[in-house]
Amino acid sequence: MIRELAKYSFTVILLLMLQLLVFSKLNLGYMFKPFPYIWFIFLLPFSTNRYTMLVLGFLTGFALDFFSNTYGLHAAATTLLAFGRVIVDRRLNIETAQREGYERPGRGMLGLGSYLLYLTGMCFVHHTILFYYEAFRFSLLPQVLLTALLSTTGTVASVLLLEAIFVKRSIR
Amino acid sequence: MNVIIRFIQANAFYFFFGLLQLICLIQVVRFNSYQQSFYFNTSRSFAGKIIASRQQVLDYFSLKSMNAQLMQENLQLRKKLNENFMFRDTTHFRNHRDSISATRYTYIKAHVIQSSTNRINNFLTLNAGSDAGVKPGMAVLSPGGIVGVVFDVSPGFSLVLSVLNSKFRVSPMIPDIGFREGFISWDGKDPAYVQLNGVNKFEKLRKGLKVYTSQYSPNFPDGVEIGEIASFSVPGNSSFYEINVRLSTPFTRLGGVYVVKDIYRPQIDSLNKRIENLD
Repeated sequence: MIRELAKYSFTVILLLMLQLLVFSKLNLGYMFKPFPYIWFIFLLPFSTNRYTMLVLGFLTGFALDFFSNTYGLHAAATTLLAFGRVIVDRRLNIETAQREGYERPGRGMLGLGSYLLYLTGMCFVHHTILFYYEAFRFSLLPQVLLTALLSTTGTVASVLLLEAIFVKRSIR
Repeated sequence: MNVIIRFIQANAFYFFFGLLQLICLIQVVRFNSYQQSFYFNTSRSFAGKIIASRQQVLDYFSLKSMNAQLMQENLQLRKKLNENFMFRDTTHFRNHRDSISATRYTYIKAHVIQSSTNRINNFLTLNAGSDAGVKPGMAVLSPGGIVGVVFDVSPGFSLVLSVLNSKFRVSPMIPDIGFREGFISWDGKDPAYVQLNGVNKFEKLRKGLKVYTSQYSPNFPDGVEIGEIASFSVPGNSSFYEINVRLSTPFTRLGGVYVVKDIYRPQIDSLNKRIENLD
């Protein structure tokens, strides 16, 4: 339990530092802002309590907000992402997956196509809320959606890249 | 009630999610200046529209009192119009002056910005000074009557020796009984009354006689109202009346006043100087 806690704490700190020190500093265009820190939410195991999931989502977002002076923006989006994971996880056949040795939704469990769809959908929802709260104006919705779509490709690509680097092939 | 509690219990996860989202939204609005300004602008303009439309309706109910108020204000402003201020008494007594004579007096408008009535030596401050052409020695009149004599000037302001000052003197006349002597001074008691001294006790006085400035006053044009006789008596063995004159100028609520510019004053002064030089 302690080992688990330490592992996830280390992961979230590493991801937040990566986000704050690298990805947030990359100026890749005003419509292209990848947020790979949200990978942390996908890393949480199936056994996580759903309330814990929400709180962790909220805290992750809050921490990022705290260091980037965007109070509430990332917290709202990441909480929604955690909520989405809880909802989507219910639809998945978790018992079978756990028996087969999968601890979280991944390429091996869902298949590459489904996993990409899953990641893209989640990221898109997260980014839409994030950019919408940032713009805070309904008239900017088309621009918000376009920014979310472009940034989603970047986020998904970086998440896949991180996965390829840090996760053992056997448990992907 | 039970149903509501059970509903919340059954959907506690969703309520928790909603709560977290609400916290986030509050943070967004509370701590981010851009979103904050948008939120407050929107809510304020919304509230402002409601208040404005409410006022539009309410205005109709107060139309009558507003009309009365405006009429009152109009009346006040109309009273302040310059053409109302005809120096009635000056023109009234002009009949003994030649009609082809040149203008002797012009007037400088000023406003009393400071005044006192509760001391023995009272002064007034006017908002017109040497820049406006005010010089020491000029008489100051109000629409009601005499006010005082300019004592000192600065470029923007002037100090006026009030009638309510123990050093103030003016020569009076009572045209109804053909009286022109004595002098007006103030005993330092009641700011509503000045004293008329040096009137022989054989003069036939009565209450309500109007007292005006006479042409013997060095500063004042003749025929400006001072006030009317309020009471008179002969004390003991004296051969003179003690007369109280009710001032026509309301000293406690002075506003606009006129500084009298005597065009021939330099000539008179230079003549008077020759008298001094004779000695």
